[in-house]
Amino acid sequence: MGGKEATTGLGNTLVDEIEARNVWGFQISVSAPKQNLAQLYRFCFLMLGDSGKAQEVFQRTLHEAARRAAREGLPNERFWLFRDARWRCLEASETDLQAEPLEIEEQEITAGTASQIERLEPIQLAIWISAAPEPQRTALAFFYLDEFDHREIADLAELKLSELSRLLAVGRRQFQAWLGATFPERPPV
Amino acid sequence: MKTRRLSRRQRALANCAPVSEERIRDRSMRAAVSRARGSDEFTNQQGFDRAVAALVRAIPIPAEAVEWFSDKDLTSPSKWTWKKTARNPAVLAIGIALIVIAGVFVFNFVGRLNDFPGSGTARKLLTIAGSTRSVLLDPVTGDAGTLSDLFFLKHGLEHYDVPAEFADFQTIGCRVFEDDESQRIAQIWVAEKRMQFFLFPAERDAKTGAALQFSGWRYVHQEGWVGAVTERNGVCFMAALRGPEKDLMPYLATAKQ
Repeated sequence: MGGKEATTGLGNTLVDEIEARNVWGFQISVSAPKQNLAQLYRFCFLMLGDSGKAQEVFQRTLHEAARRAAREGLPNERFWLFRDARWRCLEASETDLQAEPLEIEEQEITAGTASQIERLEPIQLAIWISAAPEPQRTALAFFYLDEFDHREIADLAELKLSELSRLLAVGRRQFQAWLGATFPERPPV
Repeated sequence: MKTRRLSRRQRALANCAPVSEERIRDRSMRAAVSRARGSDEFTNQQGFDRAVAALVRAIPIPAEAVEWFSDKDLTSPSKWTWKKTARNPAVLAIGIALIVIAGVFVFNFVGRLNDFPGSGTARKLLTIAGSTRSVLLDPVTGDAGTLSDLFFLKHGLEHYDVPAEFADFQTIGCRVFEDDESQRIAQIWVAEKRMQFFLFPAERDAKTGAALQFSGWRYVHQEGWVGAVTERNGVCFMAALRGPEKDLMPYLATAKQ
């Protein structure tokens, strides 16, 4: 079956297990691509900015996948786990308090940004991304997972290439402005 | 740093340039990245993206979530049903193979049910009957029943008698030959339905050497031929013709009357 994700070292993917079950249960479904569960959790975390909520959505997504695998088989759709998780994240955030739309400052990316980012905690990044408006939030979350190419991200986020490009570019500049305000660059000694 | 001018599409693509080079899968993206690579803006963007991606990779996975990757039973095993099992190609193939094997076994078993002493020889002779040409036989005209004397006097074959049922049939030719077990076989060709008669020694008990007897007529089939065999005085007589069993039956029925 060969559905292991070697990059994570976290063992079998969901699809591995479901495929294995189905072979013995005589419901062979190999159409679903390999999907990395660690990345799925990280996606939920970036979308929701909260470990507890991310876990909840992650588990609900997997329960649903397991339920489907047992009943009608897995959907014949690429990245359906991520797609499903995205909708669950959107649903989950609908019930949250919504930030008022604000004009967010933008700033050009500088060479020293990388060192500023290194000082961040993952939760800070997740909170920032989860606060972004849709579909920018989805685009940023999928993009920085470093799991998909631009076509796949555009497909998952239901965006055109030009929209995806604009959202990413704006997102970078906004994040740079936030970084500049939160972690001012240290003057060279 | 020298920058090359990018088209609008290339700029859009460069903005979406993946963090890892291995994710660049299409030519247009590769071209856009290659063109943008010299610019400070793109260099900064890549540094930014790499740093953010590294931060994302550092997101810890909670123990509860890790359980899903290895130990936890994700899926309830699908319910076992006869229908599902039957639809499985492997089961289907095994099932068909078993049916075929069972069919062959039953066919052979039923075939062996009608076996009698000498049936093996009788089948071989039916094959010979199918391949014999009339020119191979010595032309003899007369009643089949009269050939007993010929077989005795000329070939020393005792009790090679044609039964009364077939004794009146007009002969075309006859011969005596040895089969692959050196048994002497008498073959008679008659005009009636191009029927052939065979007279051959009955099968003998390996220990006592006594002829294995059986009563009445027994049928054998081989390659479209049918033979009716009877045994008398240690010699088997077989009337053979090409066709079904029912074509031979009337001759035997009249005999019974």
